Amino acid sequence: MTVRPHGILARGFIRSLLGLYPREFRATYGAEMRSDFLETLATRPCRRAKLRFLAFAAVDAVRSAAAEHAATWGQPSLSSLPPSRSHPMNGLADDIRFGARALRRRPGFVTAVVLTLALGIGANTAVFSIIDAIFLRPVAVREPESVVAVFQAVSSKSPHGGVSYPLYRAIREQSRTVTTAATTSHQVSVKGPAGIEMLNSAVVSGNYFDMLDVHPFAGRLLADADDGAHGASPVIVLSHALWRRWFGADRDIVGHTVTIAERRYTIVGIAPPTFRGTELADVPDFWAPISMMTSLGIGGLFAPGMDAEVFRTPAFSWVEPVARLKPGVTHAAASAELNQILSRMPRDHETSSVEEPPIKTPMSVMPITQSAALRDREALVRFVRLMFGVVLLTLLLACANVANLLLVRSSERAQELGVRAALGAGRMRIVRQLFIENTMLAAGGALVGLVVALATVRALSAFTLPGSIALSQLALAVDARVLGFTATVAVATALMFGLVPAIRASRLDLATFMRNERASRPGGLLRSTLVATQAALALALLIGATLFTRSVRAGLTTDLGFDPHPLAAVTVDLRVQGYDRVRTLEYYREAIRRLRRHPEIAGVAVASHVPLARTFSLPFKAPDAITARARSSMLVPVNAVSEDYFRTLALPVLRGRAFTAADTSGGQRSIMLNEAAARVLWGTAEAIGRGLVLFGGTPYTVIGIVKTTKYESVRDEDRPVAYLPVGNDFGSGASIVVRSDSPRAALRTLQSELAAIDPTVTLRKPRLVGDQIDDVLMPQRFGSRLFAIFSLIALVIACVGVHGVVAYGVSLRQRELGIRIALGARPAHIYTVVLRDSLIAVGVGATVGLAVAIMASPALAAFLYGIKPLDTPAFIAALGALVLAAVAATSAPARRASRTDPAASIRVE
Amino acid sequence: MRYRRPPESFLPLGTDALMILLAVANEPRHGYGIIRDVEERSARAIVLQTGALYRNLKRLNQDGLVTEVDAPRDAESHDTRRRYYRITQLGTEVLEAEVKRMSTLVRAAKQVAVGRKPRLA
Repeated sequence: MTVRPHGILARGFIRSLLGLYPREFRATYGAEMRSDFLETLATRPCRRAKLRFLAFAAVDAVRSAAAEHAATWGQPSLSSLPPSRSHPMNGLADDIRFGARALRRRPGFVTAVVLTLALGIGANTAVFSIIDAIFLRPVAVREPESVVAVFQAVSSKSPHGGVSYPLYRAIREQSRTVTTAATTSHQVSVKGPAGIEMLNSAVVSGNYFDMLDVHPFAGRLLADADDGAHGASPVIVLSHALWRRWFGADRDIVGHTVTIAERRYTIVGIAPPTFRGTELADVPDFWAPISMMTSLGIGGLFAPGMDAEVFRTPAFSWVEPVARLKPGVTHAAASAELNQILSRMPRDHETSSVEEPPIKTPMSVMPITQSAALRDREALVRFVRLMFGVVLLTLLLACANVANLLLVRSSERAQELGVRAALGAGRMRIVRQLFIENTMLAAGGALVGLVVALATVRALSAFTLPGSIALSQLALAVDARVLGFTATVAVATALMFGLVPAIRASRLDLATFMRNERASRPGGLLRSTLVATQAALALALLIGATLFTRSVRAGLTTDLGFDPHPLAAVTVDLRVQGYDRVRTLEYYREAIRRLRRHPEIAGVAVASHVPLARTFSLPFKAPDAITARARSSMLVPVNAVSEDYFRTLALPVLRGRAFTAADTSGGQRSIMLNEAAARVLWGTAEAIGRGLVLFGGTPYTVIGIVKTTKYESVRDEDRPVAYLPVGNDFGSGASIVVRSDSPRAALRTLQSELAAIDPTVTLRKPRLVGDQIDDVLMPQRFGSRLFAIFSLIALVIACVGVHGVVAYGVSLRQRELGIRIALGARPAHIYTVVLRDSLIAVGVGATVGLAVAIMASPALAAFLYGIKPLDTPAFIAALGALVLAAVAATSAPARRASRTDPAASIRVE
Repeated sequence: MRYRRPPESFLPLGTDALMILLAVANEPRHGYGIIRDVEERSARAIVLQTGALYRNLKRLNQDGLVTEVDAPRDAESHDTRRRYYRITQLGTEVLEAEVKRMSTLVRAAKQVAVGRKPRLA
């Protein structure tokens, strides 16, 4: 027969074609199909006709086999099926059903993907909810876009100053563009149900709530009637949070009283839970009328007799007005009108400055959505951007990892997808199918991610952002916007991690598929690239983590100018306890006397401020200062201290003398300065004996100069400080400090001795001063925690990725490795080969990550203390961690590879 | 009694299915016989591939339009190993319905060709 020479080829060909069909179909019809095929082939007269027949037969086999496979999945198979099945939406429903079924078959894969995505999506959701609460909806009032903060520039460098009370009144009465209300916030000691507490108070004008259109949760809010005579309206409105904390959400509390600065205040109402004031850094615990400001004893400075001074002096800009633009008024129009109003005021309402040119238009307005987080705003924005960068890197890493998992899986799914393609599914249809599956995975990731987000927010709630924004004070909520964000991220994620594998899958090579063999190394380069990407991202995060950690360590070991570690302190607020000045000084003296008796206590002192805590500043002027600013008014942090303070803290008095009993008794008005303050005021000239005038006109004489120390933060550089004799109580009480070689024991002695003097006095914040450094290093600690968490996640994800890829690579190379071993390669050599391959990918990634970190590190500089952003040990530590992790992730599959049984691996094929 | 689908519900038949039904309408045939019959009947315009043939046969068999029968007595000895297929009563009805549907279409198409408004009834 003439077909003989082609016979063997033809038989092999049909056998491979038959191999495409489902087993069942082949068993039923295979034999007949083979003989029919061969007989038909035999009737073809020439070689050309035979080849033509074979080609058509191949196409027919692929189509028929695909249809038969599809039929076993319950898919439409014959063209004679009812037309309604081909409706596009039905196809979509089919795809979804099919996707769900396909995923259900792979629970392990689905779990890995969903968890990886949940980490990435959850972290992003958490950070978005923070951004949402700070930048997008910081203030819960009606139409926040028409509410503005009003500022008067002090200088071109500080454009966001407050206004004086007379100027505020003028704006309120004259403006036709804005409705203005006054606010100012301070910390006040209040005796609540749980003892003495420092609370944030907001003092507001009566129209404040009305202007913002905030309605009471219970009782009433403040009204114009509360703006009467000074001290005539002792009423307060509690925040919802304080009400719940103090009174366990008891509505009947309205009408009850609390004691603040020896006066009883009636609780007239409770603010709604959403309303947290107009400034995020000072979320008020309660609101009081502005008429009660001096009665509240705010800042200790505004004693009841000082009403005239506080409300009439044009030079004292303590009002922070908020205003609502009238309909149709632009920000520019409002600013212009406010400047006109200012220009009609007497000259002394303008801030003059010799060093800087006068500002032509000092008045400005800013949307409340911006001004709500104004303090340290640049640092805040940078920090939030940093956080977002970190979580975005984590998400990218998660995507890279999932893409890798999908790539490995797609080669396993090649047969199924090939059948679908052969059945006539277009590339779009296959891409759609895969996209639907990916979206389902991403949706699962988003759902679990919400849980991760809630946990993340909770884990971060102890931290404070730059600008004193405590995360625990923010109205963080999973609302529609956050959910919308999460959904968007999920879809974007599905596109990101799924697109490349989907396109690859849709390009499936039918010829490869027909030979019924797996592509030898599909996407080897692509997978290596993804591993490199993961390594790069993980390294960038690791470097951030090591930089911050080293920065915290540097901060902890920094030279503060004094040693905080032997010091322990406790704070009392005697005025709130009903003590007058004389009894207060007696209490302090008695405390010092009792504590001195203890041999283990090397020193005792009283101070209104113990370093490394928030400061309190007062305005001073020095008539003979070298700068015009200091000649008019200058805010200087003040500390009222007892005679032994400098000895107790071991602060050297450089020139002049320390306070004596004579100073403390109030006979002389003496003041001490640190070197930095003296230099700012008088340059290099001798400061001893010069005069300083405190706001309100009290004159002081400089008697001593003290070494400059870190005062509020370890980042302080030459911060000026003024020391006054104890007895100048600034409203937040005073701390009793002891020095001891065993500060923990001394702290206990301190507490028991104070309790012995007067058991009714609340002892606030018993603390080791050394621990306060931790609080001061808040941004660094936050950064270090943030990076530590996410770099760890990144490292784990990257390790999973590396492990998966290497293991898969080894499984593909099993035959090659088997042959190598059969030819005499030693296991150690195989181990090295596998390790080398993965380390090359990791190394390339690390190089990229290093470059990224070097480029990005200047952005971190603002948050680092004591180290440079290009800190070599930090970089080396991070790189070391990455390489170790990569080796660990590779070693298991590499060891397995080195133990390949050559005979078994060759038999596999 | 099993539910019996009305013959019209199978329409329209694919070309391959129609040709197979025609091939086994008058006498039982095995697979290769059907391929040859289709080729002859269509003057080689339609070449039935084995995959398409058995896929359709499986389907037609499942739907009850054809049935497997024993080899006829006059069959060559080696053909007795093969399965033979014959049209069923339902198959005949489907075939008739399809031919009727097609001839209606053809008549309508011809009317269009001579400029009349076609009626599909």
